[in-house]
Amino acid sequence: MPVNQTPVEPSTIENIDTGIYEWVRDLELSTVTNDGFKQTPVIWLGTERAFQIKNNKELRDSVGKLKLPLITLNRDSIAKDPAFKGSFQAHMFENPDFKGGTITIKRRIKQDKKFCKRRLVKIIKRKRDQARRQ
Amino acid sequence: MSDDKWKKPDQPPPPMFLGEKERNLVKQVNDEIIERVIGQQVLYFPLDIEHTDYHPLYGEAVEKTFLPPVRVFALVEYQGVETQFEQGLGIDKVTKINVKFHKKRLTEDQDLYVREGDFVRYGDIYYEVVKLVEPRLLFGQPEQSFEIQAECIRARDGLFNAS
Repeated sequence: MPVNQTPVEPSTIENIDTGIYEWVRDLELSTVTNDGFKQTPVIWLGTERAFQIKNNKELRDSVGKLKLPLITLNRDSIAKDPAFKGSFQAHMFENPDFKGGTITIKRRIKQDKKFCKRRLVKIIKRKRDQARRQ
Repeated sequence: MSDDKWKKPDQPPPPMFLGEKERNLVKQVNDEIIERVIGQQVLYFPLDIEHTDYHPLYGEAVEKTFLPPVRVFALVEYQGVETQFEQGLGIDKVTKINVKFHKKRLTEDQDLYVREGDFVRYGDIYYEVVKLVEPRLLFGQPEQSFEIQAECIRARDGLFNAS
C-alpha cells in the first residue's frame, strides 16, 4: 500500500507571501464596472519600476494610467511571536549537533530490516533453549 | 432664385501655417540644434522584460537583460548631488539628471520608447528613469506631443551594470 505523503512547503517569508497572494487572487473577487461585471486584478506592490510598467499591460491604458478597480497586496511588517503555543512553537533555536536541530515529523519503518531482526531474535532464542536442554 | 455664392463649405479649411510641413520644419530645426549644436548624448538601455528573470511575485531581478543600447541625443540637465537623510538608514546621497528627449526623433526615426525603469548612461554613470513628463504639445495639437522629460536618479552599485 503506498504511503500517504503530503508535501509541506517550508514556511519561508517568500512562501507565505506567495500563499497569501494566491489565496486572495483565487478568491476571484469581482465587481461591477463601466465595462460590466469583471474580476478585479490582484497585484503585489513594491515591484521594480520596469516590471510594473512592462509586465502586465492590461492593467494600464494607452498612456500608462492604472485601470481601477485593483486589489493591491503588500507586506508591511513581520513579527515572530515567541509566546505563541501552537502545534509547532515559533521560537526554535538551532542545535550545534551535526543535524543542526532536526525535529521528527514522521517515521517510516523499514519493514525488511524489522523482519530480519525478529527472525534473528527467534534463532538466538532457539539456540539458547537447545543449549539449556543439553 | 439668386445663386447662393456664400454657401458654407462641407469641410473647414486646413490650418494655413500649422500643417505637416511646419511640424516637419520644427522637428528638423530641433534635430539640428540638439544633435549638431548642443551635442549632448546618452546611451539608453531598454530593459527586456521577456528575457530578464524577474521574480514572479516580487518583480525583482538581480541580473537584468537589456535590448541593444541606443545612442540618443538629448538635452541633459545635471541636477547635482544631494544629501538625503533616510529614516533608519542615515545619510545617503542622491544624484539626479533631467533628460529632455525629442520624442518625434525617438519614436519615428530610432524606434525607441522611453519607459520608467529603463536605464540611461550619461558619462560613466548609470541612471534609472523614475519619472516621465510630457509637458507640451506642438502647436497645441493633441496628437503632436514632441518632448519627453525623464527624471533619472543614479542607480546604486549592483542595481544595473551593462559592462
